[in-house]
Amino acid sequence: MSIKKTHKYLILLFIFLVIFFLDRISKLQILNILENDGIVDIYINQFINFYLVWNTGVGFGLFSFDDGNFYTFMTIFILLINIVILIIILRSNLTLAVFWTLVLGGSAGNLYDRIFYRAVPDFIDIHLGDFHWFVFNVSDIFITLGLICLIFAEFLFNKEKKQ
Amino acid sequence: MKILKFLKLFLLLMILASCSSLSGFAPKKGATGEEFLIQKKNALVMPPDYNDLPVPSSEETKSMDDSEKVISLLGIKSTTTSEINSENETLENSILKKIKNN
Repeated sequence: MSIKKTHKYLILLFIFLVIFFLDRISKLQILNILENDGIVDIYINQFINFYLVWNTGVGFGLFSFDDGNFYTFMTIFILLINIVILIIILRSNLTLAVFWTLVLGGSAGNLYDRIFYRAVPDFIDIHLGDFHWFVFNVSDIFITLGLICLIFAEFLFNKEKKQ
Repeated sequence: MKILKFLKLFLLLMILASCSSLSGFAPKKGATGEEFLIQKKNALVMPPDYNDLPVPSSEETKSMDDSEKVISLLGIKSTTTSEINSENETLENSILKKIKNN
């Protein structure tokens, strides 16, 4: 393995670990508050609250069923997607690999919760008056950020190719 | 082709992210309305003529004739037969007195 590739993988591993542990620390803090107070409902400012919701489904609260078999199927499916993303990272150039690592770091954080808690804790509640956006967590921020970057990258790389 | 790629990425977001809704954008539990904007109603009080109202279970209801209803609506005082008799007697006496005097 060349030094350039080693550097690339080290950078990507560092990004992955930072995202994963940021997510873990935030979730552990919230779970500590839950253990001490029995409820997590913290007012940050007029637009943001920390309010704990357990999500057994996927994004936007979809597929939140009580069926254990379906839950296991979804978890295995997400695990497979993570493996596919890892393969994409290994084959991509550094820029794209960084964006995919953002997605993988966030996804791994949620997958960890799915396996160990059998649900993902969401706690960031952004709202405008009584209009609440979906409750999300730190992992979701990085997944969304990574995918937005990938969309922009698609535009940029396509322009470069055309020129 | 691009649209297909965006759809794939959006699908990926849906599967990998775990954001959940607060029961369909409803105000979350504990978040009540503006309590200071709620108008307080006065306590319930008995109506002023409550004692004059008939008891619902009693079957004795005063039935009024049409003529009596008309009289009561006009506000004319009804006169009893005894009153009329006494008036007639006084009239008789006065006439008799006048005859005697003549």
